[in-house]
Amino acid sequence: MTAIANPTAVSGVKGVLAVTPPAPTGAKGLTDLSTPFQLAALVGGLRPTQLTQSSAWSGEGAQAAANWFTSDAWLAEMLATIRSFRNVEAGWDGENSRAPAAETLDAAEMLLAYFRNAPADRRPAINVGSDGLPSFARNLRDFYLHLVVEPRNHPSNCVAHLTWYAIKDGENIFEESVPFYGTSLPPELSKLVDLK
Amino acid sequence: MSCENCRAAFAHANDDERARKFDEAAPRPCGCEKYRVSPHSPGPVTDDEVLCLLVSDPQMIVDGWLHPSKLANFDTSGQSVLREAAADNEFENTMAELVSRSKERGKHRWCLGVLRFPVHAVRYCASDRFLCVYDTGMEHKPFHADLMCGPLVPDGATGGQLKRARMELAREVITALGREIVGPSDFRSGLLMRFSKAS
Repeated sequence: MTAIANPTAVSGVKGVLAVTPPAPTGAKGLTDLSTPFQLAALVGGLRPTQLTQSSAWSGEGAQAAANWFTSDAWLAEMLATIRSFRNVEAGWDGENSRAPAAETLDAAEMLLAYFRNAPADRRPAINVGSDGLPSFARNLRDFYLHLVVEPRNHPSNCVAHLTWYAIKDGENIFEESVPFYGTSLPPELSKLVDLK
Repeated sequence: MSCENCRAAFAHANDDERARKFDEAAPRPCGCEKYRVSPHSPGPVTDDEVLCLLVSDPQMIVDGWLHPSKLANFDTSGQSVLREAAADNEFENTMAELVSRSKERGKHRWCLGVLRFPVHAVRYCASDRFLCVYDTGMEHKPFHADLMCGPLVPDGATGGQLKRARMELAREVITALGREIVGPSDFRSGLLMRFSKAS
């Protein structure tokens, strides 16, 4: 496990992942990896080899991190999509949409760190609905997934709740308000996206 | 009288309650479809018409199909579409409004294309009724229409039952809508090109 230096409390996920290192100077500019994503990646979303390659925590890893990040087009696109919804106001869809909450966008970024390790045909695409909730989807002949990231209920020590509807191998699957703690995917979701 | 009730539902002030009001306005499912509910509309939407849904974000498409997050309002405010008979300026004005309003709220978007689908594809599922299609024309958008449905779960159902019903409906609607997306350069000889990302 990579060592964490100079830990500081993280707003929004306090109590779940209580510490995070300050981003190395220039790391965000190089990789665009946000704090929530880095947290999830650090805790378990990335395989050790990927973590080493993406070691934004060490100065000499900065360039490697940039190469690793930009080489994953799916990840870059999903992070950019989430970023495009940061700080938007209600009505961002030109109609009556609600503004997404920062904590659900943070949770969505954490989910990306895990989905990234799924097979390419199981990685879902993110969007935000007019209800302001981020959701992931995939729509293939043998696999349909619609997963909504919902705010956690207070008090709670999870990052968010996840509700999903899926069709896999002809079976309809529905799970409601499954807690997501940021440290791993819920096992049933992990199985759904064929994470080893 | 149903016709007056339907027009009252159309004029209902709370957008999120409009689908329910339409459902309550007529004695049978989608009963308001046979009336001209908007004074600005040219008339009820017929089964042989084609509807157009403006696709204004690349994130709205996944694997060639609409992203289900776009389809969550059928039992509340409804899903806006334009009837294909709409004039060019109705399409242009609608896209211009979406783009400018979004920009004012901090979201940049552009025209990815227009999803075309026949009315009958969303009105019927085999011989059963599916979505209701109402002629909700406005003063400057007479060919505006809305896709709606009645309550998806009975009163007293849990939140989870409602979520599941909405997600299952979204999946069925996505399939019914199909994936005939006409790009901005091909739609009406490039009518919406100035809203494309390339412009």
